[in-house]
Amino acid sequence: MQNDELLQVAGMSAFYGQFRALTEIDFSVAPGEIVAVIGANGAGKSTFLRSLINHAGTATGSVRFHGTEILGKSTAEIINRGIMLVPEGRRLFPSLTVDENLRLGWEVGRRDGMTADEYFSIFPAIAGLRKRPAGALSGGQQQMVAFGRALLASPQLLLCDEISLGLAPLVVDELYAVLPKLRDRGLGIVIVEQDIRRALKVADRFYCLLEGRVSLTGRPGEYTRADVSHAYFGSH
Amino acid sequence: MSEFYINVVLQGVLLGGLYALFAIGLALSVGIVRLVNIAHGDLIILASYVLVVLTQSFGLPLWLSFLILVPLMAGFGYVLQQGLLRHVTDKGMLPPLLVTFGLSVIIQNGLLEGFGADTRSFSGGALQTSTWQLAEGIYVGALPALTLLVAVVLIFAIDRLIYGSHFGARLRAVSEAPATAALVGLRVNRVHALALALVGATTAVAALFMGLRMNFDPLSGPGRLIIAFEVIVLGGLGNLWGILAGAILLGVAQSVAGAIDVRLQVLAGHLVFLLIILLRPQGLFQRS
Repeated sequence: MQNDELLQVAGMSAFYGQFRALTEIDFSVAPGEIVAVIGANGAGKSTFLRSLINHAGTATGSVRFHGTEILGKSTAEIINRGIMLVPEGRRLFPSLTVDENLRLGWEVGRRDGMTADEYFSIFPAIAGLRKRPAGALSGGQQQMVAFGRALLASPQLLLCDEISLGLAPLVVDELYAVLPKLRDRGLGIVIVEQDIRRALKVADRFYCLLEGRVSLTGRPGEYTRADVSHAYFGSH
Repeated sequence: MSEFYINVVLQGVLLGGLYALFAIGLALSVGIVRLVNIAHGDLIILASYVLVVLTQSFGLPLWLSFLILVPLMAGFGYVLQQGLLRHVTDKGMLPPLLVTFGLSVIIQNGLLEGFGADTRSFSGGALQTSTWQLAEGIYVGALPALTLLVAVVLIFAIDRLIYGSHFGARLRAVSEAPATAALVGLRVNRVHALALALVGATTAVAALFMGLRMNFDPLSGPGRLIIAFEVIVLGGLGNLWGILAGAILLGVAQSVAGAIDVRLQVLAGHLVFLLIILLRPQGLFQRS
């Protein structure tokens, strides 16, 4: 069973100095599965995603990717093994062209998955902007390029941090429509999202974080809104 | 009389070629690694002494010594970053200043210990003595002209490397947003070390032409550093060709002032620098 999982997290805690941001997280993603991580501001969602690629504080516990322990490996090595993040706020290199931003994704990755041509067939709107500096693009276009940079790294596990933040609903629809296509290619996908309804609509399973702990997990249909709301806000 | 001043200005322009060679490496350090390298001038002097060893102790011809020097200095730059400077590159402004200041002191005293305080220079044979007559009464020396030509070629090559290659895109990414670069899996330290290797290679070129054109001793580094600083501040960091313009401006100011009164030469360069800083603090050619 365990070997079927793409990512298997067991008892992971994360610390910023003395502060404990995550407590004993158990979490898994299978290939071809979309898993949502929901939770209020400060629940530890972004910390969780970044801990998976060793780019947030110090983590303890176990993170297995394809059965191999990756906790403590460098961000560059983890990405090279096939986990890639679409960071919150897009985080492109604004003075670099779209092509150069995409190419960096290719260079840090495994170089055996999606090609630039395939990417442009999924996001045709970007194909005409290849020579533009990324900083000159609209927010939605930048998010698509941030997606592209991650996809060209040929990830088997894609981590999406707040991809809808600050974008027009139509653009968000377009981005979310891509996720099932990627799942069908066999990618495991983790989405961290404030917009619960949107996240639960696309996800196969979800985890709700509350103050750094998993407060609820399961399939979106299994629970009532009141259950989720309780797990989300706590029993106040 | 006018020929006199044309010659003076021309010499200033050519002197600018040498100053550009001093400055290119520092511009790369500051621009890519965000490392204000107080020891930059001393690295050039160190490279010159390696040339001294190769030519005098090993008896190799100067051109062959230079070909050996370039990879040596590139390797030194790489090791310097990976072994020492990486520990301070993301720690704010002060730690890199202190560490490179210490490095500067170590290089100067190490060279004094090993080579004594005598001034040195290289012998370049006919290259140093031949001049061309451009027009009636107007002359340029072969070596100063070659220096400027090399500076132009080097700037062109580095500009193409940075703005026209995949490696250059990585350099720019790391320079622009080091935290993001690390977040998306770039090995920032390695990119920095390769940038320092490039810096090391440029110090080899600067060392060769400096030693052919002027005397140096173990304590000459800070003087070269001041020139390099003034050049990159004048030229602005965003544009490599600005380095050449800043260097020529400084060279011409020194040359013209030196023709009026030789005691003014160095002072005039600094005054022009201060004046332009007052009028255009962003540098002359900042790329927007």
